[in-house]
This record gives sequence, structure tokens and C-alpha cells, in this order.
Amino acid sequence: MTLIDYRNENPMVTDDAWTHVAEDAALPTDRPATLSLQRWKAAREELYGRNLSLGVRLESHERVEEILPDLPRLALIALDFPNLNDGRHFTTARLLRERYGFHGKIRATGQVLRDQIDPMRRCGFNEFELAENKDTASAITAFDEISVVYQPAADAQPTAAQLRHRQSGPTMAG
Amino acid sequence: MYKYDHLDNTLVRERAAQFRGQVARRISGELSEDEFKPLRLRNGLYLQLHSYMLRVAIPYGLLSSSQMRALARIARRYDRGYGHFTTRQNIQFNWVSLENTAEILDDLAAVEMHAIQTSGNCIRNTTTDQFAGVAADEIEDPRPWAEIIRQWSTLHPEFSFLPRKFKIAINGAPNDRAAIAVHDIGLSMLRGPNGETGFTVWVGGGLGRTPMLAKPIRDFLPGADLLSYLEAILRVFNIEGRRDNLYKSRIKILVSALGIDRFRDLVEAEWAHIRDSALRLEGREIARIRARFALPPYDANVDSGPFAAKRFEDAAFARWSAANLFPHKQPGHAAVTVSLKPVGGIPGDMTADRMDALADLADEYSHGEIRVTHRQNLVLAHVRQDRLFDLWRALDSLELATPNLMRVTDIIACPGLDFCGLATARSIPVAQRLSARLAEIDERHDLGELTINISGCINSCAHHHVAHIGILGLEKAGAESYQVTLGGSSAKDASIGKIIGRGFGADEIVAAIETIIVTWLELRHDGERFLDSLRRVGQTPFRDALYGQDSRTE
Amino acid sequence: MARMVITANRLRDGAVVWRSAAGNWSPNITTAAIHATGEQLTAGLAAALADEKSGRVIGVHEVEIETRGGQILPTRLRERVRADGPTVSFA
Ligand code: SF4
Repeated sequence: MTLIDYRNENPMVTDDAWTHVAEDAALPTDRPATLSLQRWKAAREELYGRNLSLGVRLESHERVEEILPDLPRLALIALDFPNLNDGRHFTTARLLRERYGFHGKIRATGQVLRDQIDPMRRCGFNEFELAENKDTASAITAFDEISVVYQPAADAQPTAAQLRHRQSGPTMAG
Repeated sequence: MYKYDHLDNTLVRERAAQFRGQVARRISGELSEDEFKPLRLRNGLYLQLHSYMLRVAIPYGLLSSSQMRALARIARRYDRGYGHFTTRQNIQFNWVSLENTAEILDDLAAVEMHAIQTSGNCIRNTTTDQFAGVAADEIEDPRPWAEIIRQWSTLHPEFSFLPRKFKIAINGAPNDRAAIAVHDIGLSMLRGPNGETGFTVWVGGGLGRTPMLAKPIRDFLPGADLLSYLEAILRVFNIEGRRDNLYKSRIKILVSALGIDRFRDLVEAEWAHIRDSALRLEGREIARIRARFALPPYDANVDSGPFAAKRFEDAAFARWSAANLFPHKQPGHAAVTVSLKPVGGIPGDMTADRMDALADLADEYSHGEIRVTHRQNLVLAHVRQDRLFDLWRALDSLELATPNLMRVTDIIACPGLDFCGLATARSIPVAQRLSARLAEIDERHDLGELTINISGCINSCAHHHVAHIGILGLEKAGAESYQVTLGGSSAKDASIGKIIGRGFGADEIVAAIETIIVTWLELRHDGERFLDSLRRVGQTPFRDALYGQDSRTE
Repeated sequence: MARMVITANRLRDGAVVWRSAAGNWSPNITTAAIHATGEQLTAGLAAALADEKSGRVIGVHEVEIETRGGQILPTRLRERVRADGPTVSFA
């Protein structure tokens, strides 16, 4: 499976190194793996000690607040989009980045379309599994479509207001 | 008015190009209709009964004359020579094709316009008082703040897939002319103890299936904190709002389910985290935007003598002056309402020729500026009193001078079943017949202020719940049926109208409204408004007149 | 079964179209194929939905009609408005 990896401001199509482990399947020993929130909660004590990159999958109604103490142990949070209309995880991603200081990967999964990945990126996502049958390679141009932003988000891009006042003020260096 | 800088321009052009790509992917089959629909909706493109409809944003209802001419060109080139102004101060083109939309958006971008977020589950066009900036009773011009909200909400990455649409209104005067009580968020401006700008924030108003008036969430919000507070409300809504039931997904349902106090606690807790973030508005950005709304240079020495003389000489002019002029903060000037409600006409429709003609009049009489009102009329906001008579004559020859603002023929009507895919009954023909009939009664009895709004389905786009007389078109046993509500208001004394009784057929509704008005005339105190009489006597006399005393059940 | 015709809107311009017996989509309801049995309707809808899938039309649905003097008249007002255009002259 391929995915879009947006790393260092540079999107690329890569092979997915991760396994999404099903509810009752065994954990792999040799590759990074994600678990459902439930399974993670049930087994977290034991999993903490394993020498393995781990991630947690959150469904759209599940809150990141449930795993705050675990964030330093997690390398990836996968946030699921069950349909085109459920935008709750846009908020989740921003909270992870801006409030809870999560530096690992945030991956969008489920019904992820080309037209959502740029706003997702702005909210802090940096990996995108596109919906089935969608052309991953052509989708990476979606990040280049809109170059101006009006509001601060989880990305570092200066807003229009910041740009406007940069030329004139002492904030030039910033 | 607000003038784009290169950043604003770039964004709108890029968004038009992006939409062009989305349309191309739809036509090539790469996108299915299910995938495309949310994309086209958030750019204002609907599929109606007969065609696609494109809703163009008119931020807070403000247009330049050159923008109006661009709308006229679009109406001619891509539509059937007209457009329809809506209750959200926008314009709709009813007959566009999917293939043309990208070109239309390019044409719009060339005059600093777009269709961004005119539909879809995102933050919609912020509306305000059509007399903003010129009203004599104003505390502060709300338009710079509406523009600040427009920019913040445009392509907001976090709030592009909300549980449901989200509407914000802002009003700058003690008299509410923006219907803030029926918006998801209503902002009313006031001054703090040291003269600083602030807002009273209301939340959870809305119409539709479950009409509710907004509740106060914050008495005083400092201007600099506006965006962080809005973001806190939207964030709570995005996480907590219901997504399982379309009819329960507006913020009003969340607010009433949690209770305003619990909801406020959630918002304030969220706000505490982000209040001191980059969302805090800097004085120089507020100043930059304010400067773009500077009022035009007025002549301080307008002689109002000719205006008084003409009113004395010409009864028709006097009548129009009494109905369609609004007091201006600049002595010697007036704000003129251009009625898009000719007797028997289609509320809010305007031909391309009239758009061009009005653009010329705006240049000649009102510093090239036009406003769209949520009553589906237009306003020329800066007219010298000594030129009112000439303007009136010009408007009259264009059939744009019906003297009926807030009167019984100033009917608000949605497109209804003649155009709208969601409609359950027609609204336009009812508006036309009512207007023709009631014009006669108004002529004889001077009915004063009396508002009638007609929606073609429970989505309530014509805000019938807050009309003095509201009409809702439904489908009953395959036929049109019209339910009447009495006693609504969207002004400072906002209230939701109450259903009077069983509905009326298409051939009964005009007579039923006439019965209501005739009944009122019998019990009206001298000069009393319909709404005030109704509040005084209650619904019973009207119910008895409509259904007979025998039908009393409660 | 009440008699039915099949309708949709054309993808490219949104125009109302009706499906003929030959499988064409025409803006004119008089050419619409009338389905009198459940099997006919099911078969017609299956073909129409294939056209929707291939991107010719959107919003495929069936419409109950009656015929009067050789005219096809939808029974619901909504569909009559779709067939004949708005009942008001605009602007
Ligand atoms: S109220 Fe209903 S019929 Fe009227 S425009 Fe809105 S959705 Fe359409």
C-alpha cells in the first residue's frame, strides 16, 4: 500500500511501513504497528516495554484525551475519516500538535480524498492514506493549489495578516 | 469598501483554478457525484430542479458598481439575463451549466468576487446591517469586523467539514437590522468602560424545523479577542455537535441539549487555551481593514430645502421618501432602499439591464456603492438629499421605486418549488398574488409596517418564522398546503411566530391572509402596527375569523 | 402498478431529461418510455443507473405519471414543474 508522506514540507509517495493490526490479530514483531484505541487501552502496560514502534487508531468519535499520557510512547496516531462529512479529526490533529505537543506522525485514514489533504496538512497531519481507487501519485499536487492562508493553524505558514505587516514592522526577522 | 490586496486576489484566483480542476475531474469521471457534491456545494454550486444554480458571495452585502456590472454580464452570458438576490445578501444564478462554472468564477475573481462557502457545512457569508457605516443610531461600523470574520473563515482548515452549515451575523447599532437572534452566532457591538470596541455574543439561534432564538453567551468580548472566541465556539461545535441526524446537527440543538451554561463553560475552557494565540487581532491589522471602509467624502453643506419642496409638490415622491429613506448620520444625506418588490413581481429578481442601470445610478448618486439587504432589496447608502428627487425619477422609470420597504408588499420569498430541489410547495406565485391583492388594501388603509415571508419548505430560507405573518409551503396528500404563523419578528424584539391552525390550499391562502388583515383592521388602534395589535389581543380573533368560533378546541 | 417514467438531470448542464425506450435521454417528456410493470421499471432503472455511473446523468429517479389525451403528465407537482419548467415567468 502506498501513502503520501508529507515530510519536511515535501510531499512524496512512499510504501507504507506500518501495519494496521486487526482487533484479534497478532502483533508483528518486525514492523511498526497501529492498534485500535480499545486494544491499546487493554494492553498498554505490557506494550510499553516492547521494542516496537507503535501507533493508535482513533475513530472519528474517539477523543485523543484518552491517550494523553501515552503520547510520548506513540510514534503514530491514525485518525479515521468514515465519510466525507465527518470533520472532527481536523480538530483532533490540531490539538495533538498545538496543545499536546505531539511530534510523531499523524496519519489520515478512511475516506480521504485529494481535496481534503491540504487542509488536513494545515491541521497537523503528515501522512495520508487515500481512499481506495484514488490515484495517490497525482494527488500530491493538491498541496500546491492554495498558497495564501488567512488563519493560523498547526503549520508554520505565515498568515496573510502576518505577511502584510512584515514588510513594515520590526517583526521582519520573524 | 474593502479592496483586495495581492494576497486576497491570489487566494480567490487559486480557489477558482482549484474548482476548475474539481469540475474537470467530475466530468472525466474521476470523481463520482457523491464525492463531488460536497466539493461543489462548498463553492456554491447546487443542482436545482431544472439546472445548476450558482450562489455568488456578496460579503456582508456590499457591492461596487463595477461588481454589479460584472454580475449583469454573467447573467447575460451564462444565465437567462437575470439574477436572484437572497436573504443572505448573496445573489443566485438559476440557469448555469456545470461546464461554465469555472469561467464564471474567473470572471468573478477579476472583480474580487467568488462563490466560496456560499453553501456546504462550513462557515457561510457573514451578514450585517445594510445601513452599516451610515446609520444615525450606529455605535460602530460593523463591516471591518465582518471582513475580519470573512478572512478568518475563508478556507478555514479545521472548520471546513462541520456538522452543519454555520451562519454569523453582526450588528453595529442598538436597533438590530441583522437578525442576530436567529443566527448560529450573533454579534452585537458595544463600547466597553473605556470606550473600547467589544461585542455581546449570542449563540444557538436558527430557524428551520426547530426555530430558536439565540442565547447570550458573553456580555462583553473585547474586539481583539473576536477570532479566538469564535474559534473556541466553532471548535466545541465541531467536536460536540451531532452528526447522526441532519435535523439535529445545528449548533442550536447542541446549545439547548447542553444548556447555555454548560455550553458556555466548554467554550470558555477552550478559549482559555487559545485566547493569547496568533488569533489575537493586532491593532495595525484592524486599522488596515478599517481604513478600507472609510466613508466617502460628504458635502457638509447640502441644502435640504429642495427635498422638502419636492415632497410637498409631488405626492408619489413624498410617499416613496416616507417609506424607502433611512436617516443618515451625515446631515443632508439619506440611505435609499431600492425596492426589488414591484407589486405582483418576483421578490429579489433583477434583470441584467436593471443591474447595469442601477450601477450607473450608484456611480452618479452614491459613490459607486450598492448594498444588498437581507430583505432582498438594494440600498444606495450615500445620497445627497438635494438629488433624491432626480434619483427617485430615475428609479421609478426602471420600476425600482416601489414605496414599500417593510410594508405588506415587501414580501420575502424563497425560490420554492418553481426552482428549488428541496421545496414542498411554490412560494413565488403566492407572493405575486398576495402582493397584487394586498397592495390594494394597503392603498386604502395604510397598513404601515407589516412583514410577510414565504418559505417553500421547512428549511425556512425566507425566515417565515420571524415574519409578522409567516407562510410555509408544505405538501399534503400530493397538493400544496400553506401553514400560517403569526407574530414573528427578527428585530430587537425578536420572536418566533406561532402557527395559527390548519393549513390552506393554494387557492385559499390569499383569501386567508386577507381575512387576517381585515380582522386586524377592525380591532386595530389608530396607527398601530399589526405586530403590536397581535401582541395586545392574541391569536384568538384571527383564529375565529379563519376557522369559525366553533372550531375552538383548546 | 402505477405507470412510471424515468428521469434525471444531465451532468454537464443540469437540464431535466427523460429516458426513452431506446435508452436516450431527452429534454422532452413526450418521448419518455412508460413502464407499466415492476419488471420493466427495474430493468429501466438499472440501465438508467448505469448511465449515472458513467457520468451522463445524475439524480436518476422514477416518476409516477398519468396519460391524458396522449400527453404524459406526472402526478406530483414537483415533477410537473420539472417537466414543464417554472410556473412563473421570471424577472
Ligand atoms: S425554504 Fe426550502 S424551498 Fe425555499 S429555498 Fe430554502 S430549501 Fe428551497
